Order: sequence, then structure tokens, then C-alpha cells
Amino acid sequence: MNGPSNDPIDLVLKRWLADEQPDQESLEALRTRILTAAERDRSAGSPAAGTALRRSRGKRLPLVVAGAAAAAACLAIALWALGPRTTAPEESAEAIVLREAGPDEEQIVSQARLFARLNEVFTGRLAWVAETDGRVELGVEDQQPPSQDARPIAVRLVVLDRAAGQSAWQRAWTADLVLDCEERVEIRPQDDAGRGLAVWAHVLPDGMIAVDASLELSPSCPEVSYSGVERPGATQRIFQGSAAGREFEVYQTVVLLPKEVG
Amino acid sequence: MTPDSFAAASDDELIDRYRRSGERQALATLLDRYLVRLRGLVFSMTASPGDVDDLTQEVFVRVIRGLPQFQHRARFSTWLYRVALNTVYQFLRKRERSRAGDAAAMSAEAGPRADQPDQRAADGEINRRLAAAVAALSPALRAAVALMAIDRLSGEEAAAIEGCSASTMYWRLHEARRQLARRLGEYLPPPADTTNTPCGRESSPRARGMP
Repeated sequence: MNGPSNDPIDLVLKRWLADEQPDQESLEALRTRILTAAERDRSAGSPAAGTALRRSRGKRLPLVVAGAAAAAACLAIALWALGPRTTAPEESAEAIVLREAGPDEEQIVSQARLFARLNEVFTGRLAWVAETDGRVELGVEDQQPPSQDARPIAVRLVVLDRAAGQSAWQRAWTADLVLDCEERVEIRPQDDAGRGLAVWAHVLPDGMIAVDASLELSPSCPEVSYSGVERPGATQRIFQGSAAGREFEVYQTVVLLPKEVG
Repeated sequence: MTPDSFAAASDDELIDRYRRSGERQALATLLDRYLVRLRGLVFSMTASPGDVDDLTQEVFVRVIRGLPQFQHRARFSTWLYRVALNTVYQFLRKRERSRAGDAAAMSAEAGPRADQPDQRAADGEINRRLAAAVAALSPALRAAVALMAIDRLSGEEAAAIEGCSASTMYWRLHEARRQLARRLGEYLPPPADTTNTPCGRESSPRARGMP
């Protein structure tokens, strides 16, 4: 921490915060509320413990840029097609995840190259690219941020679901994201399917990747929130639950992309 | 484990204790260490007295929920702050969607009460303007103010939380101070001295580290 500051702005900020401090009784009430909520949350069941799965090297098509449009902070373009992801009937969750989980090496290079090329198109202002079921969005900064050495991060989220009591899982939704390490991606629901997504990730000094993800699986399912530190390339089950007669599992894979791609 | 030994335990020891046996006291001790600072961070990011307790609760519940996956690769405090900022960013985005503008809302929320004596009314006016000025900053600039100007974290500590370089954090703090100074103008006290460098780095020695 730094020592005290004499900057006039800092002084008024500190005084403002001090004026708004709650009294001891209010703090104690908040403390009790948090502990009670944590216990209630624990007894209701929290996200499932991570399950490391080996990634398959299933064949996928390379990414294809189809076009770009609009000049707002967020642009939608038809961008990449990760090949067919059809799910055969009567598959176990593990079989689907092994096939659908994190990108293989060819895809990693493709994603990195695409991100770098698009970043050139947007003169260094590209913050993230997201593809969800064929719909692609870009996040573009208004101004070019200060140069960073960080490598982009690829995140894949796979949602499986099945009717309660059934044995076979099916892939309900997949999201592929590439983002700069301090950027937050937020995909808002566009239709009645109601799937919204927010992801933030950054690389820790030891190479692990901290990820915060929240996901609205459907209008009838509560938002899934996950915070954790991930090993690059490992697939984790981050949620297991049910709502409105359906069971859901959510798997997440995070990969650090190369910075420069020829 | 006695109450004293809980108080003397490191964050990592308390986390392990909670994960192994679910001991409420371990959790309560962690909470006691960070509650005031976290609540202050949430308040300075949102400037919204009506939301700060709910958001603080949400941060801690998310962190406690994530403890089974916490692998001690980062410091607990870094992770805690990171979750807090992401929760706040999420809140700010939702609020942006439901409100025409933060600044107008802040002005209404933080306005002085009619029964305040003169000095408190004056303070209330400064606070009201400050809340509006903070609310007009981008979330990234607010975070720089909350972490570095208010919580007095170093650029390196704030950068670890925000996931960017320390130079980016110093740049954001400098820009945030510049924007706040422009909006507050006459309400600012005169500077006591000029120990700050132009880029916002503090020249005073580091007093203490992040817990």
C-alpha cells in the first residue's frame, strides 16, 4: 500500500467515504446477513467441484471472417464457423464435453490470428470477440488503450441440458470468446431464449488464469455465477443444477493464446 | 482453535480450515478482516448508499462459493478485490440499462438533507458533487480511484487486481484525478504540497502492504 496522499482530490474522496461509513451496529447487521446468506447458499448447493477432462482433438473447420459492420462499441458480424457441432442422441455428458471442450492447437492459432487481424482492422481498439451459436459480436474501445504485453485469452463455455430423469445429454449452447486480459465481455440476451453471458479473465503471474463468469441459461433458470482460478487448457465443470424440469451442466475451458501470430 | 488463533491465522490458513471442516469462525474471521474495506470499495465504485450493502453481501457470497476452487495461486485479497470489482461492473451495466444516466441518479441519492446544520449541509453539497463526479467516470477510472486514491493500494497491487499493467493503472488514476478536478473545481481544498509526480505516482514511502 501507499502512504497518505496530499492530493486535494484524494482528501475529499477520503472524507466522502468517511462520511458514508456505517455505524458499528449497521456493520454488525451486514456481517450477520453475509454469514447467514453464505450458510444458506452452502446448504442449497454451490457450483460443482471442478472435474478435469482430457481434451479431444476432434476435427473442426478453421475460423472464417465473413464481414464487419457498424461503428458502435459493440458490432455484430458474421465471423467464425467452428464447424458442425451436432450432438448424437444418447450421449453421456463426458462424451460430449470431450468432443466439444476447449479448442485444439489448430483452432488456438486460428483464433489468435483472427483476433490479431481484426485488431489491426480496428487500429488496436478491439477488446473482444464472441461467438454464440453462429452469432458473432465484437467489442471495440472508443480509444486505443495504452499498449499492453498481455496475451489474449480464449474462453469456451459449453452448456449441456436434458429433461429431468433422462440419461442422454445434449449440447444446448456454446460460447467462444477471445478477449484481452483486462476486458469484460457481456453478451445480452437477444430473444426469448434469454441466454446472456458475462466473462472476465486475466492471467496471473504464474500462468494460471482467473475467470469470472456469469450466465443466464434460460429465463426460467437462475443466473449461474462462477469465480475461480483455472489451469490453461483444462476443462472444468462450473455448474450443475436444474430448473423448470430440465437439468443443466456448464463446462468451461480457458486457453492463453499466442500474442503474435505470423 | 481458539479465537486468538483464528485472529492470528493467515488468510490461506483460514480458507483451508473452512474448506476442510466448514468452520463458521474461520469464515467470520476472514469476513471481519475485509468487510469494511470491501464495503468502502463497493461504495466508492457505485456511490449508491441504497445498494452498497446488498452488493457487498453478493461479493462475499460469491467469494465464499468459490473458496472450494481457490488454489492459492493468487493472494486471497487480490482475488477478493477482483470478484468485488466484477460484481460492481455487472451492477453498473445493469443500472446503466435501467437509468438514463448515473450522474442524475447520484445527485438525487446523495443530496443534503434539509435538517442538516450549515457545515454538514456544506459537506453534503461537496459529497453530492463528488458522488456525481465519480459517477461520471468510466468504471475503469472509478476502479483506479477506489483502489489507489482511496484504498491506497500501489499501482502494482491495483494492476494485479484489474489484470493490467501498473503503468495503465497510474495512467487511469491520473486521468481520473484530472476529470474529477475539472468537475469539482471550486469545491476542492488547495493542495498542501506537491509530492505527487505528474503521472500520479506517490513519492511517499510505502506504509504497509496489502493484507
